[in-house]
Amino acid sequence: MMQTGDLQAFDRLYDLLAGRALRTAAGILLSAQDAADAAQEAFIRVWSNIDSYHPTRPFAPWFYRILINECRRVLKKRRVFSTLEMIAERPAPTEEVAEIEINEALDRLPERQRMAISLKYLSGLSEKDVAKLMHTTQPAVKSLLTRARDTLRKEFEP
Amino acid sequence: MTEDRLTELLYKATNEACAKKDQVRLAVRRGIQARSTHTRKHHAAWAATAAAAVMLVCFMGFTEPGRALAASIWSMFAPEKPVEINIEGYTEDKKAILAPDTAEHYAFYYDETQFERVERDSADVLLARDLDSDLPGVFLEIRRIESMSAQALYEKALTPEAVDLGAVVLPITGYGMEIWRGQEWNSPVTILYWLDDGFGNAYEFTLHGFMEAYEGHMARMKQILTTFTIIQ
Repeated sequence: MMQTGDLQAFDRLYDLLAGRALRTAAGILLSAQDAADAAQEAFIRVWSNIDSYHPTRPFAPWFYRILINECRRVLKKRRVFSTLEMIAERPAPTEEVAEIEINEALDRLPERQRMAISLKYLSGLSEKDVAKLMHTTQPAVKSLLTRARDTLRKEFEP
Repeated sequence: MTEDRLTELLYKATNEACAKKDQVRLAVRRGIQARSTHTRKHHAAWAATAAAAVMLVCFMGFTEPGRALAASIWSMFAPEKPVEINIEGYTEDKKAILAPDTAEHYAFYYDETQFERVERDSADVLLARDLDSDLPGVFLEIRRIESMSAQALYEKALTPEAVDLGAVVLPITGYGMEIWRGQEWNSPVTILYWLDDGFGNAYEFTLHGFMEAYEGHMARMKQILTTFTIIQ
């Protein structure tokens, strides 16, 4: 039987992290539903694997490693579908024209640039933590971010 | 492209996902119950994680000893977070600590080497440190206003002289306006934001500064607000 205290603690953790987690996943996956699925699985894994987290370590990088792994799983599964099909699943543009344009621009970025941008700007992690999560160096992350920003600037500030 | 503009575009692109927060919460709960591997060890691990990672002071109880113990545990485990912000054209690397309010309604991160936190007239105030005494005051005031919506407060405060920011997504998702009182380097500038707490109350954030501090200290205060999280 689940003890109430645990669920309350978990609920508060969820409240703290869910918004940024969903946004970060959506920035990487470019699909609100896939982001919801990845975030859902990530939080369940956090609950199940909490014994492997040591309280003296920063929590956010530990959590985002789990989330990124879930995003990678979704991306791997998704490689059987074309990207255009994913975009076609989105609702028809009404007031969302700008949102679709942003998503299309993000979709044109290489996956690693998109991941770097999402982790940097949506999860609130430092470039150092982003580098660790992406198994690369800080200068490499800076380079990914610079290239991504340049591409997006050309799209939105011609 | 400025960092703010890029962040704004990314937030716009991901709003639909963020709106699924409650749907995901229910799905997570169902998933946890389905896997149901609860043990005493698991409970203890959650207690330690909560204290260290989040600020779950509330499970310590509401007695005075409970609060004192919670506060001391809180100060022992308050996590730090590296913060990078773009200030006046360069990137500033700082370390921010997580800080709840005493009633545990909210928490945010701030750099205690740059700001001193005090309580003033029932508001949570962050005073910028190390400013010359002849400079106008620079501080961020956080006030919880019960039984009013962010939109109502914003509409009540809006004046013809204000720069109306309307609905904003940064640094908080709510409403905002700026008041510029003069064109001199030390002319006062006030920025106001309002945020609903989801429980029928609202938060009013007042950033006080002056023109020359707009890109510096006031930008730092806006960065603090991006970390503002409502707990209850």
